[in-house]
Amino acid sequence: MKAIGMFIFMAIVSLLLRTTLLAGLASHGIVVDVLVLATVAWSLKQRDAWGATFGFILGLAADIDTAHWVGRHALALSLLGYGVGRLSTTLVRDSILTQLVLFAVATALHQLWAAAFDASGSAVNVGWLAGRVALATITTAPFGVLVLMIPRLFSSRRSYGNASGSSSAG
Amino acid sequence: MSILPPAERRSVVLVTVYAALSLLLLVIGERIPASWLRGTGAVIFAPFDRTAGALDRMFTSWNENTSLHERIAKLEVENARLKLMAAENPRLRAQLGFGSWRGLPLQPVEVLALGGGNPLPDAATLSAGLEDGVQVGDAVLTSEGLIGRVTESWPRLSRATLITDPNQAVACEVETTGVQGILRFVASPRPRLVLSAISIADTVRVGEIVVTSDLSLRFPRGIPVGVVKQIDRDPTGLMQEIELAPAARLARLRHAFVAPGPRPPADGIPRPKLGPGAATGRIEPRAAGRDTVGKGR
Repeated sequence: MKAIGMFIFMAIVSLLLRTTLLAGLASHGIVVDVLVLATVAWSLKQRDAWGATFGFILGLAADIDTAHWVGRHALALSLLGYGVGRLSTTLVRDSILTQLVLFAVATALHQLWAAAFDASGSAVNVGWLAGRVALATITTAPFGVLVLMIPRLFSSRRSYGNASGSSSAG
Repeated sequence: MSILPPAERRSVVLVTVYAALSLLLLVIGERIPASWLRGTGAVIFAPFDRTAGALDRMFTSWNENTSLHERIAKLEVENARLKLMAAENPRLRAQLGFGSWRGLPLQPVEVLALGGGNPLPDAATLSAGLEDGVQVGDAVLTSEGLIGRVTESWPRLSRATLITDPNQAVACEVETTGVQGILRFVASPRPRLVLSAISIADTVRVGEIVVTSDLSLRFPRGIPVGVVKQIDRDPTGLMQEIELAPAARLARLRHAFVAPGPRPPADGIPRPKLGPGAATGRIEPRAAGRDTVGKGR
């Protein structure tokens, strides 16, 4: 029950941030991919099945809001959620470096996927595309790690645990 | 599959179902009427959006207050000058045999949320809907210029598709020379507003203001859209491709105005705009035209 409540809360907060605060930051060139951030954070904690479900629901909500290419975020985020969830069983999830790499790779993949749709039917400026992906990656990855550190400030317990499956997740 | 433990098998099945559903939506998603879903989402999120907007305003209100005071002072001076001209204008128009201008009734609205997730949003949720008289087709603008058009309207909220949506096209003209073109948002090779279909023989200069054209069947004439930023030739080499800097700050929208757009004719048959109203800039009821909103890509 607690997990479902958290699921709904995280999805609503992510979508809300995307359309308000982060839309303003994006205008200043600070692109934080909050969809990836929430999906990776959720998948690290709740593993593959819940990760894929969270990614799918969050992506679908974002797709419906965008009105074009319904299914593009849902597909990418459900696969990312599943992938990160699977990896979380073999990685030290509390390691900052692990989190940084996971956020960076997931953001880069998601941005490349989204850019492919934005650029469909016309020539792609590789430099611009690389810039867009790099910018989102270098802002989202450290920001994601910072977000994951917040619960640790208030608790001495490990947030995620490691590959053996020790976790404080409720 | 059978070699996987039951829990892993379940998650593989789950992700396969999600992937298949997503692919199906990618193929048929444009045909699914999702307007009611967006409407429900907008209603659910409206209180949160208002709260987030209020917090944002709280933090920025001090600076905004200072700049608004400066702006009021400038506008008061300009207003006094315009009042003199406004008194003179009807007399001159009457002498030239022109019809009178009709003011654009503007309804103030709050921008609750921006959609798209990109540096330039392509949609906005507005705080007024059908009950406030906002209808599909109405133009949405700020004091700086055009931002888009209402494409979905629910009882208390509405959704505007911004000019940064690649499916929007607006008939425009260069303010000083009257050179006509079609404004579109191009996402690649880099996102920008482009004024196309301009003959190579037409003269356009960097810094000139581009406004909505009288040929536009969807927007009132004379709303600023952008400023000419760069002039290139299109791939054929026969036409000019002009990049515009948007007149309105599309990524920092908080308040906007809705102006009545064309209403569909009672018989449902679209007609081109003809007659004396075309020359006076009056807003006539009209349905379809050069500028359209495409469905799907």
